[in-house]
Amino acid sequence: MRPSREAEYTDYIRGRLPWLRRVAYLLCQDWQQADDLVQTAITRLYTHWGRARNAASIDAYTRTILIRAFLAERRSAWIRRVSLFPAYPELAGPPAADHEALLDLRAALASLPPRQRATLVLRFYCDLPVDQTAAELGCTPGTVKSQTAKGLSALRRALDPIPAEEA
Amino acid sequence: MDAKDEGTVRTLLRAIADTAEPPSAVDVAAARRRGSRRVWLRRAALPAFAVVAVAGALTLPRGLLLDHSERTVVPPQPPATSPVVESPWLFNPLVPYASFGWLPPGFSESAANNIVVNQGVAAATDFVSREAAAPAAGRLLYLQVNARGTCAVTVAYAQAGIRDDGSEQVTCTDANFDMTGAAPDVDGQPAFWTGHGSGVAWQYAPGAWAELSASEIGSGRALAPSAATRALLLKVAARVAYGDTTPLTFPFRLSGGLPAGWQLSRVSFTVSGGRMTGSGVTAGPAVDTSALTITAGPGVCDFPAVPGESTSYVARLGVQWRYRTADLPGYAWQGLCATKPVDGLAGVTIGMAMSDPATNKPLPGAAQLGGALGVLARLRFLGPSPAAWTANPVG
Repeated sequence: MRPSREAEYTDYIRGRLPWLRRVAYLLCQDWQQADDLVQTAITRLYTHWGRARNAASIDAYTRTILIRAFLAERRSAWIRRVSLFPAYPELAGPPAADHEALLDLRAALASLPPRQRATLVLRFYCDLPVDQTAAELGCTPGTVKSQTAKGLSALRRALDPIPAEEA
Repeated sequence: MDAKDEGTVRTLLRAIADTAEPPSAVDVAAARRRGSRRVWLRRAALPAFAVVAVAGALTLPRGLLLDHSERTVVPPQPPATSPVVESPWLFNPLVPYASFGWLPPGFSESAANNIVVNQGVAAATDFVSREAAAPAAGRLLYLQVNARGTCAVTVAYAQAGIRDDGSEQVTCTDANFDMTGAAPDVDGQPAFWTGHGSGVAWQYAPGAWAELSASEIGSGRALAPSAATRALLLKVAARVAYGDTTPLTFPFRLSGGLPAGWQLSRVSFTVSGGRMTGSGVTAGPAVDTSALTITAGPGVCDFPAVPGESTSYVARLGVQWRYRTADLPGYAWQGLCATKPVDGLAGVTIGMAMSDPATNKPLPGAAQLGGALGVLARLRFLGPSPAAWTANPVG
């Protein structure tokens, strides 16, 4: 890679690393796996940097690489076999007012199929419209809508397990 | 789940993402190394029985392409009709070595200044690149002239000449050119089509290679290798001028120079009205040659803050600067971005890594510069008159 592009790449990753880690964490629900995923994605991004830098949105290009790497890993047995990093120590986060709800949502997210989880993260964390979500997932808008509906339904059951009429 | 519930999910997802995170284990330097190796392996995946690698500064003998049964390496002879071009082993980044000697109607370098992600042209110690654009036609030309000895030529022998499978290539320090067919000579020197004819690579001097490629503005897609594209490439390539001695001039200067062990790794510049104006410098120690970047040229202060960084505003030189810092394990960086022109100069930014990307230890020399704010304090803006500008931006 030309040094100028190498510098662009490095500057970009430096600037976007926290964001990439957080998106990956939402997908993986585990910081160690999230860093594995980001490592994979940014390595892949390096090999395609010439194309990425000319994309309409480098962020969208990078996010697509991240999402597809996530889905590919979940399809393969990779995620069960390999960790690139040693285990993290347990970290205590700051207490949140709705801590229970967060725990419930984390558990519910973790229980979703990978594609549903990716769909919800793109739609509701990255705030992407249906069309762009479909483009990044490599599927149709109709699939995004159905995956969103199924995912939200599963979350609703997890977050509010007692049906409203019985409450 | 209705819109209200969607809002709840949105809020909870953000709360999860914002929970305390452990130190990053992501290794950007490793990604670059692995990515680079992957690019190499992808392009150099040659059948073992069919490979001859001519490494270093060796040149590709023309005869190999014309007579595939002949494997004798014959040093290329400069054509009698063309002046012998000499290429140095390394270029001076402050004096772009090569330029477009001719551009087709509609193309200009100044038009490229505001189109590409960085500035239109750049120079480093081992290559010079220049870009020219034709906005009306949506076309971009990219020229990269590599210093002598920075390219290796790999030739896969095959019965039918170049195999057009990516296995033949010119591998330079900063670029790889897949040879996809023999091209007519450029200025009497061996040449090859790259990208199936959307580019041409040629040996402009013994042991020194250049490539010219054509692409679409925006998408970056290579142009279709039509006869017209090929003819245009050959005409532009044949008129590239080498050995330019005109230095860049910069409207800013870092007083006090660089810390010991740091050196310029590249510069960027713009071209307008025939004047080459330095618009950026990148420097660093050997462990991170792009640790410090100062720009003053096309671009706006629109890089959004990301989680994990702190953003504040500081006033310097009568201008508000967006000041971003990250001091996370494995990611220590500071950036300044002027929200308005500084002394008439737009697009002023400073980015500075504070840690060694490999070890995460403090970067040698970074403290001496005082971080991004220290660099800003030492920056001198030289005003609008080119007569007051400098050819040494870090002296």
